[in-house]
Amino acid sequence: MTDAIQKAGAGTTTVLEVQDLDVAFGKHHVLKEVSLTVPQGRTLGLVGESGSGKSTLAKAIVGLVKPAGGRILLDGVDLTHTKRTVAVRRRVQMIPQDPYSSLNPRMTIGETLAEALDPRRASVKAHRTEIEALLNRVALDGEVAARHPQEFSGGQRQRIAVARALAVRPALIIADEVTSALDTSVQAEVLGVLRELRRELDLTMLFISHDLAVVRHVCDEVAVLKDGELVELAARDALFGEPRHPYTRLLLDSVPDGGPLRTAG
Amino acid sequence: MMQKLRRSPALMLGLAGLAFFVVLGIVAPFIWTDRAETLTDQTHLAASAEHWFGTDALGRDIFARTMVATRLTLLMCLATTAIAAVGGIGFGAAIWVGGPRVRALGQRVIDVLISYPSVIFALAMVAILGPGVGTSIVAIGLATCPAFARLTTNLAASIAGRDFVSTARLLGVPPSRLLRRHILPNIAEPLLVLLSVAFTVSLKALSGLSFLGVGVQAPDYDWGAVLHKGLEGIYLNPWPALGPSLVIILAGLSGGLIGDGLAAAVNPAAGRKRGYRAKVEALTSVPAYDAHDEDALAVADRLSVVLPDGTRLVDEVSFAIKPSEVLGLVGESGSGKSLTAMALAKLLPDDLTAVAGTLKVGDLDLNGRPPAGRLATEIGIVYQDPSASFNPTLKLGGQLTETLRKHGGASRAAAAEQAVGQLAAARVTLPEQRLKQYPYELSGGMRQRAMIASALLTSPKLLIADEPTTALDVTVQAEVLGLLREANERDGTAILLISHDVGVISAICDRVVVMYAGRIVETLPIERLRAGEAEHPYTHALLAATPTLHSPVDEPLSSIPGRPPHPAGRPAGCAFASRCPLARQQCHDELPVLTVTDTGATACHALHWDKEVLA
Repeated sequence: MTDAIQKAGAGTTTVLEVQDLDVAFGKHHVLKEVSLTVPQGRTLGLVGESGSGKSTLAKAIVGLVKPAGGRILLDGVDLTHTKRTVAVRRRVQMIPQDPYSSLNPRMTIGETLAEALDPRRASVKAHRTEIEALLNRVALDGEVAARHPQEFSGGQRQRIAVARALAVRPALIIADEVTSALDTSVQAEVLGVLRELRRELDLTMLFISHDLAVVRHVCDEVAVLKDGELVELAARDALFGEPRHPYTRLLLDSVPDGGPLRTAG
Repeated sequence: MMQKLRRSPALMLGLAGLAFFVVLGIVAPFIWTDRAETLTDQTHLAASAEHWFGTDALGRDIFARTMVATRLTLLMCLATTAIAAVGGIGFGAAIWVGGPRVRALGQRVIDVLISYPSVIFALAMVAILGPGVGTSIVAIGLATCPAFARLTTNLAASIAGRDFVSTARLLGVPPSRLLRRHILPNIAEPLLVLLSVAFTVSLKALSGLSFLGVGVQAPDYDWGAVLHKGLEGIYLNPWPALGPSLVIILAGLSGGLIGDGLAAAVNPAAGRKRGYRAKVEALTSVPAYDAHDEDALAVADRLSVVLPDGTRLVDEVSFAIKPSEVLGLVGESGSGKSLTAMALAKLLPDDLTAVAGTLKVGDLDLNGRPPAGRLATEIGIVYQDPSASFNPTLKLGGQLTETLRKHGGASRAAAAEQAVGQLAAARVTLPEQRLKQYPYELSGGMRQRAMIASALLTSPKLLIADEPTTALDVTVQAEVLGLLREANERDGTAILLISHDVGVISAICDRVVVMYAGRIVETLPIERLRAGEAEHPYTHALLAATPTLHSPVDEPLSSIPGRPPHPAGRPAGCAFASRCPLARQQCHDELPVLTVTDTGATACHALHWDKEVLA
C-alpha cells in the first residue's frame, strides 16, 4: 500500500522517512513496524483514536521517546543513531495542542519569538524586523510583540505558536491536535493560516488529529493508525473516497457529518 | 506583578507595621544609644514614666535598649532570610536542572533536612562554632534553606510539565535560561509568600537563640538578648521581660500579616464572595417564543444566570422542550449553553443564581424549592467526562442504585436487578460483574454507557446530556449517540443535548437552539440545520466554519473574524453585530427579539429588512 504513495512522491525530495519503527513501553508495544514518508512541501495527516500511538510517533520523531527498533530519517540523516544536538533538535518543531499552556505567561510575544530565533541571547531589539515579519506571516500586527499571551484569544495564541515554530525555519513541523482545544470558528481561522503558510512557504508537515474532517481540509496524504499499527496510507481523495481498510471505513462512518446518525454496526 | 496584587487590609497593616520597624531600626540608635548603654546606679527600677520598661542590673534603660536592638535584630533577620532564600532557591533550582537522578537524590536530602527542627540544628552549629551574631545568622539561615529548596523543586516540576517549557527545550534554550526566564518568573509568587513567612520564622528562631543565651553575646544585644536579661527579675518586675516580648510579637505579627496578605492576593480563588445572592432584577420583556406552550414538558421562560456582581452569563433565554423531543443546544465556549442546562437541573455553582419567569420540568417548579427526591429521579444527567462523574473509590453497584434506593424506595436486590437491566440495555458488556467493579476498571466508552444507564435508571422525564461524547473517540461517540437516540425512542425520554459540535447535534436531535454570548439567536428544526438553511448569520457562519467530509476542500473554511463579547460587556444591540457581515447601525443599537418564522424563531434584524425590501 505504501509503495504506491512513495512512487507518487518520486521526484521530490523526502524530508521525513520513518522505517519499521517500533516503540515499546515495557512489554506493551505502542508502535509496531510503522513506516511512512513525508516528501518536501507535503502534509501527511496522522489519524487514529486514543491509544493508536499517533502522539507516541510524534514524540519519537522529536526525540522525547526512544524507539525499540527501526529508523527515523530526517533529510536522509538517521536521527535514531545520532546525538540530538541543538541544531538537530531545531530541524523539527512541534506546535503543541493547548495554546493556553504553550506560551509563557510571563514573557511578551516578542520575547517568546526572539527566543525561538536565538535561544541563547533572545534579544527582542536585535530581531525586531524578523519578529514583525513572523507575526505578519500569521496575520497578526507587528505591534502585538509588546503584549503578553493573556491578552489574546485562543486562535490568536495558536497563531503565535505557529509563528514560533516558523521562526526556526524547521525542515519539518509537527502539528499535534492544534485545533482540538479551539472553538469551531477559531479552528477555521487557524486552519486558514496553516493553509496559507503551506502555499507560501512550501512547508512540510505532519498533522496529527483525531478529527477526520479537519484532516481532510489540511492534508495531502493520510495515514490511519490503529493500536500502534499503520492500517492504511493513501492520498487524501483516495482515502476519503474509497477507503480500503474496514477500520478506515468504520472511522469515516462514525463521523457525525451533518446528517442523521448512521447506525454504526 | 505587584500592581496586580489586591491590597487586602491584612497586607496593608502588615506592610505598615514592617515600615514602622524599619524606620525605628534606622533612627533608634541615634536617639537612644546613650540611655541604652550608659551605666547608672539606678538598677532594677520598675516601669515608670521615666523608664517605660524599667532598668536592668547595670542601671540601663530597658525601653531604650529594646529600641536600639531593633536595628541589629532586623539586620540579622534580613541576613538570615537572604541566606535561606538564596541558598534554598539555588539548591532547589540546581537539583531541578541536574536531571532526573540528581533530582531524586536531592529531594530525598531535602526531605531529611526538613525533618530536623531548625533550632536543634542551630544549637548544634553553635556548639561547633561558638555563639555569636554570625553563627546565629548562618545557623538559622541554613536551617531554613530546605523549605525554600523543597518549594522551588516542587513548583519547578509543575511548571516544567507545561508545554511552553518543552517547546523551549525543543528550540534549544539552554537550561540556565530555561530556569531564569521560564521557571522562576512563574513560581515567583509562592516564593514571595514563603519569603515573608521565613522572615517571621527567623525572627522567632534568632530571638529564641539569644533568649537561651546561645545567640547574640554581650556587648551586642538584640531583642532576644534584652528579653533574656529582663527575665531574671520577672516576678518582682515584669516589664523588662514583657516590653521586648511585646515588640517581638508585633514585629512577628507584621511579617505574618504580609505573608497572609500576599498569599490571599496571589490566589485568585481566595477572597471570592461566596453564598452571596444576586439581586433579582425585574424581568423586562414579555414571555417569549414557545415558552407558553401548554403541552411542553420543560419550560424556561426568560431564564438568566447571574453572577453576584449582576453580570448575566445567560441573558433571558426562553425555550421549551416537548415530551419525547430531543432538543439540541449548540454554541461555542462562553455561549452559556451548559449554564442554561445546569440551571434546568438546579445544579448551578453556589455563586451563580438562576432568575426566570418560569422554570419547570413537568410539574416540578424549579423556581421554588423542589423536593430533592423528585429532582433526583425526574431529571437525569450525563456529564462530559465519564472518568470524573463516578466516585473512583466506590464500586459501581452502589453508585448506580443509590438514587433508586434512596429516593425510589427500592430494595437493594430490586435496585441491582434494574441496574443490570439498564446496563444491558446500554450495551455494557457483562452487566452483572460490572456492579462489583470500580469505575477505573471500565474503559471510557463503557463508563459513559454506564453513566447513561445510571441516568436512565429512575425513568426520568428529562435527560440532560452535557457534551456527553466530547471526551470520547469518534467510533465510541457514534455508539453513545445511538444509545441516547434509542432511549428516546424506546421510553419516550425527552433529551436536552448540549454540544459545541454541529455534527453531533445534527446526528440525533429533532430541533436545535443556537446560543451566542449568553443569548438564543435562533431555534430551528433539525432538517433545516442539516440542509444548511439557517436564518441567523451566526448559525450560517458556524456551519460554514465547520469542516465536513463532503464540503469542497479546495477553498478554505470561512472563519468568523473577531471574538464574542465578554458577558459583562455585552452590547446593547445584537451581540453578534461586531462580527456580522450584514450588520447595520440598527444592529448595534437595538436588541433583536426572537421572532417566530415559518419553522422556528430567529433574533435578527436583517430578516425584517428583507421583508421591507420585498414589500
